Amino acid sequence: MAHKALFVEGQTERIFVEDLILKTHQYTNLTLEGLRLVGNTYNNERTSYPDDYPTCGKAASHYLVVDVGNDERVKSVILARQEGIWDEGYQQIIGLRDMYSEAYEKAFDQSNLGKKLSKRTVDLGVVSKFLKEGNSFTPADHPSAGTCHLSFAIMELETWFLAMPDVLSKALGLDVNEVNDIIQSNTDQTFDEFDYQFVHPADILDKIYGKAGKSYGKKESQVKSIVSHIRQEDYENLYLTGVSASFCAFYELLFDL
Amino acid sequence: MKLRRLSYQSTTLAVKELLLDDCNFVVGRNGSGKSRLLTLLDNLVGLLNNTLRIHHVGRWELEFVTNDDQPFVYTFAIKGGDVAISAEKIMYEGRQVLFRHKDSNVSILNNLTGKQEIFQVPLDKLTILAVRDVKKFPALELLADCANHSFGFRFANISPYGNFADSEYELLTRLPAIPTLFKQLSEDSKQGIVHQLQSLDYPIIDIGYQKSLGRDVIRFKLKDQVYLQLPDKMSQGAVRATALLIFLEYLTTVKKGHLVVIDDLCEGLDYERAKLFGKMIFDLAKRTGIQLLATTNDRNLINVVDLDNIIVVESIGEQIVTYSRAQNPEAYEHFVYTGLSNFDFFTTGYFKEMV
Repeated sequence: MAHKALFVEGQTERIFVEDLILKTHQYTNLTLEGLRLVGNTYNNERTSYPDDYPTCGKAASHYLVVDVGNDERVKSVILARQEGIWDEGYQQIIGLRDMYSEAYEKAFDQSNLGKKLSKRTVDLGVVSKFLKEGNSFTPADHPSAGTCHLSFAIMELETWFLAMPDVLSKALGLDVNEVNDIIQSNTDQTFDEFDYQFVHPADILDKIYGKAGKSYGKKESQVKSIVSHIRQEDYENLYLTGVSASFCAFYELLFDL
Repeated sequence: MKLRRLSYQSTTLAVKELLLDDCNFVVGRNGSGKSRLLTLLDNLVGLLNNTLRIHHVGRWELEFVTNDDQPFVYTFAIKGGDVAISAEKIMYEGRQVLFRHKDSNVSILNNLTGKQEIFQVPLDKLTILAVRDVKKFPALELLADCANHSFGFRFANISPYGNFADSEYELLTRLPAIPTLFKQLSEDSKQGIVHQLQSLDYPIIDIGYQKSLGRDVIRFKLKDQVYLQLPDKMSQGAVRATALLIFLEYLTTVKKGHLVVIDDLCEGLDYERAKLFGKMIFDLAKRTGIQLLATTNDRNLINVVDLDNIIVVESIGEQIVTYSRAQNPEAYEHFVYTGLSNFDFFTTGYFKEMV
């Protein structure tokens, strides 16, 4: 039980993380507040659980989930706001962003100058540098400073949706075999790990949506529709089967496993 | 020609080596030397254009690259006492094409004959202000042309209550007031500016020129309005953005600018517009081949430009020290992996890592 502050890169991440937290706690014995940063101020897009939070006060397990609006702001916002977070009694700050970003593309190009590595292949060397450097936080000079961590969805959070084909089949009214076929046919990687099969998992998700006569555009309604079909057991199974290593790492950090 | 390196040394100020690329965003804390750097560039162009008398003692070293990728190095020095040019040299295409001797004679390589010609140039004048011949001395023409086509704009000086006058906003080579520049644009250019303003989400459907109470003014027509409004009815950000877009459109379509210096780019714009406008200016510079040097402390702008184009400036005593990718490639390359924003690159001091 702890008070944790999460800073996530965007709307998709915020919707997913809030849902993951609430369902894993089975909606009991927790409080949650979701906010969105625009520039340096919070706008009026606020979610709270239960409805009477903050009047009811923080539960022993309390989560703050902040959408910072950009992958390249997650760590910067953590550094800028951590003192205030520690002042409010949080014990841990977790950042969540996609691995795929302009910075990744730039690092990929730098790293592969003159080489023949296709941009459709995940560059493990580049990923490992981001994982190492991204998690390097200078400890804050604060009497109540907790720990800071930066998690990455590799390569995008949509990988975690692809790792739950049953959920996608229910959300889109497709046969799960159709969903699996599309996923399998769109990987030309040789890595064993599921996370590294797709540079742009959102593109694969779009193809799955295409099978249902739609297109995936990271819209709020689409993400909410997907997560509404995820049960608590689905999150648990995704963790226990270990299909997605980046999800497992995030799950363990979030729930202190 | 594009300016690639500038060094300056005097008893009161030193810039060891400012290295420039095609697009440059100079950032630094207040008091870091950004303004002094701009004043230095302003003085340099003034000296080369003969709009400034020689008075500041110091030594300049400038390295350019020509449009056909040839190096061009110009050094000159102004000495104290009887303030005078004490040294002057041009190296172009690997040859010394100009040299000022101690006795004030200047030898210049005649491009037609291949021989040195000697001129008696006044001690208080740079050679390009005394000797010109397009065919005999093309190097001097390159230098003069570069200076004549270097312009500057003080973004934060533009106000809805001001006159858009040249005295308010200008740096480097002077141009007329913004309304006068606007009058010289084509209709396509004017419409292009309106579309750019609309892409910044300003509700402007037309801009026009008018004489009002003896002043030349730009007027704005907003959605749902019949008449053009004076700028004092507009937001500061809208007026500044409009003025700069007119300025840049003039330089790219009429005057053909080579170097554009913009001071305090995006000052006064909100978060979203700073990002969009900064990117717009950056893309325009890349597209038109204009060399851009913008100073800014705007976090939103700093975060949206390419880190490789950021130069950090700090003052150490009388020295202005600059940090750029060319000087410290490891820091720039390594920073990409930290997950931090460009603004953090300079606020955390990371730009000094591995130096």
